[in-house]
Amino acid sequence: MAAFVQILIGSVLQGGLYALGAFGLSLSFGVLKILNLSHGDFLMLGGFGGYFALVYLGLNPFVSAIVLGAAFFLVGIGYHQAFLARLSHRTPQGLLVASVMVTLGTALAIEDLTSFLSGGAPVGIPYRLHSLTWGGAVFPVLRLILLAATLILTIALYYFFSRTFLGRAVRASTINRDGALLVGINIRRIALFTFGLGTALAAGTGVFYATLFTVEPFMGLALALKYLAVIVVGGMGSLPGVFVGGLVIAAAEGFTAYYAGPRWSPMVAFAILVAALLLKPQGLLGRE
Amino acid sequence: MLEVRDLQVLYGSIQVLWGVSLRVEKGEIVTLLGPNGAGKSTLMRAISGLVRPQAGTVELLGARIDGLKPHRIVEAGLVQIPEGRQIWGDLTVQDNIELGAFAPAARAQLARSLEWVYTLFPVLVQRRRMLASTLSGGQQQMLAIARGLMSRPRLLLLDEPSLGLAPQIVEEVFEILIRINEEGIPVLLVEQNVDFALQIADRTYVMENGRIVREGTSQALRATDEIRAAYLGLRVDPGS
Amino acid sequence: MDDRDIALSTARDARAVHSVRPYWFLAALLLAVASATPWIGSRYHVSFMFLLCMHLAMAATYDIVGGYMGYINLGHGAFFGLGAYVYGATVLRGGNPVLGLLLATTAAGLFAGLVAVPVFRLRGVYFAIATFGILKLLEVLAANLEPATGGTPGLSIPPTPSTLPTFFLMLAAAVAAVGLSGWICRSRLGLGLITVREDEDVAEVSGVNTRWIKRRMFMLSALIPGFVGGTYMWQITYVDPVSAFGFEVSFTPIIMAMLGGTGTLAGPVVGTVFLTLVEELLWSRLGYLQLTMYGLVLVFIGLVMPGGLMRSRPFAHVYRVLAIPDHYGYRSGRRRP
Repeated sequence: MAAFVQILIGSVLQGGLYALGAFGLSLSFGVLKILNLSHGDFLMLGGFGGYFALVYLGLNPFVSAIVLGAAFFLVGIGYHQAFLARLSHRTPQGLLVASVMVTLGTALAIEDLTSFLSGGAPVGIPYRLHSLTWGGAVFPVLRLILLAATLILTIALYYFFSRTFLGRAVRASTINRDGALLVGINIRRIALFTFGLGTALAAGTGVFYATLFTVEPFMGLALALKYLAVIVVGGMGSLPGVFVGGLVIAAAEGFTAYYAGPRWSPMVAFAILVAALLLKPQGLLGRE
Repeated sequence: MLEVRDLQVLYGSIQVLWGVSLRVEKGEIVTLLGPNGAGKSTLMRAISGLVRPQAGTVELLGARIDGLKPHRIVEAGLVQIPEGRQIWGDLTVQDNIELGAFAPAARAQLARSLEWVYTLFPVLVQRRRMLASTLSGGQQQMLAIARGLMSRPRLLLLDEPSLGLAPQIVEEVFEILIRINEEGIPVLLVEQNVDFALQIADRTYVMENGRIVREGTSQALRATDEIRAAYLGLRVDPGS
Repeated sequence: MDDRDIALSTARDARAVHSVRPYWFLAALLLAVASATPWIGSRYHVSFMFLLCMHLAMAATYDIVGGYMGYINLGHGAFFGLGAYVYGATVLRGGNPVLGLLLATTAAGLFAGLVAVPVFRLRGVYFAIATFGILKLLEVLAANLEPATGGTPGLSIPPTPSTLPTFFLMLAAAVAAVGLSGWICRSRLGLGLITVREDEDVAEVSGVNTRWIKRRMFMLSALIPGFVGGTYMWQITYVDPVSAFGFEVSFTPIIMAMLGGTGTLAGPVVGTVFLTLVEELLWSRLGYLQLTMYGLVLVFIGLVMPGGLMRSRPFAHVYRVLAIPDHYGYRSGRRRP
């Protein structure tokens, strides 16, 4: 029983991290209609950044998450401007091909360069706090704090997207682009902001990720695929769905690792992705 | 007010509009009629900046708006209520309307615009917290118009507002259009519903195959054989 | 004029066919030189050609579904990996190479047929994601299903004395792949494929049996890669999950096809030759940062000429001189602001 609870709590935290990371991917797909295959690489870079921040600057992960998040907001905007903005004028088929090329190419380049510069080994942020024991289960304080941070971030995002003008405009743009254009919404700027936000979230999440687990240079593409599983399960186009999807995938992975063995858990996300796409592409909460 | 001159639009290598010209004067209601595929929607999209014309100009109050981005055209005062409404179903009615005033200039007047719009559309007030997708077709059309009005347009474009609506609702919608027009906003209306359209319009254009083939006041057009035979389904007697 | 007319008209004027005599001559010449490599070149040349033909076969077959039909099959490498493993498993159990190749090819085709039914319910990005997911799934399965696949360490088979048979088999595969592409270029079937790419719904109502075409072409595009996988295994005698299903082996042909120009006959050829040459040159100098180079190439073409080299201005002249059968532009023209 204790193991079950521990797995469950671990899944909530893991799921929350997945969701935050996948969130940006879902947003950018909704607003720009571009699937950013390099999204996972920003998480990886965030993780590496957090490592260097701790080792060379002595910054704890919470601080570096914020700093890196802000930095990568700008990186995201720059990336969008440099690479993606030009693609928006293409026809759907042309856009598909071009966006796959550009984002896949960026992913490969980032991953390979990082591997080259860092030596290729997995990296973890060596930051530890103490643990609490309760009822036979062990709860590391670090995890609890991260869980709390994840929840706070989630609530903040919820408020942003349901109460503020900008947040609602972003949602509107993902639901109906033409309607948004005709109402005076500057889609270009919304797209920029959305992309920056998504990238910032990915990088910040990456710091947390590296603290709990490790990051390694070539994880990006597989991670992007995992995020897609999260998004598809939760329902494409549904922002709350991302969190549902994150939870489902994380729980599935956790229980598979425990009952079938850890070497099977990497497969879980991919299997769920393929199954979901083939059986129920709209996902659990989705619209399309 | 609005002046379109020799507009040419291509989709890829296929020419869809062949030198279309029309104008809308202050205070007018102008209708655009024509069969499916005539290019009416393309014309509307081009005027609103969703599609870039190959040649020709579009002027609003003397200033050129062709080639501008859509949100700039909205800022200039030209607002389109598109075909099929294009509302945001997952957002509430109030969200939909408020987002209509996204542009900074419009947002400054948000409260006043909201009041005005709710006076015009009482049915929306009651439903303002409901999801837009739960509204009926007619109500969604009202919502689309309400949303458009929030940007304080100087000219309103409507693309087939009566599409898919029961005749009674169509009447209501048209009545609202007349009210809006009386408040000083000229209207350019694309319609399939010829009868209604001719009733409320001051002038009418007829489009076919990407060209304007007829222009005139509603009475004059009503009387022409072409309109009657093609659109009203009346038989043309050789003697009349 | 509405969307249907636009789609049909685009497909129709995408199929201009020029006279092809100079092209045939050049191709025959190249083929003769290539075939003579084991005698006129060194061991290094032979293995270079082997690699080149492998990439070419993969790129050209990718292009059938990815370029002509417009369905980006990121999992194309799965057929290759499957073929390699099946060949290895067959030979380990006492089968001879011919049986191995036969089974490898068949397995790939069957797999494609099986997967085609559910996967073609998706379109566009979703299709790309699903095929990518299947590829990754196979990689993880190969690493985990130890008894069948040897797990992470992989499979090894006894080596063969001569490289001659595999060299010619690979050459044949490349020729077949390009020939297949060429045949599609000029056949009615090919036109059907292109209409599916341009506007599938219109194709459907115009009488093209889209479901049949998608399935058949998918299976067809899997056969040669399966064969190539088997031949690869025959020659290299070793395969593991990464070398069978990993990024490098799976995406490289796709990148080559895209660089040269998807949906064109010469595109995959040009892209493959160009990139393989560059890779060999750089590899001998650097030995690393290969993927980075691929990535940057991809970004560059995606931004500047997503239609590939074959659709860019300078090459239009080369075309005319060589009278290569024309290509099918999908228009990346401006559509909205």
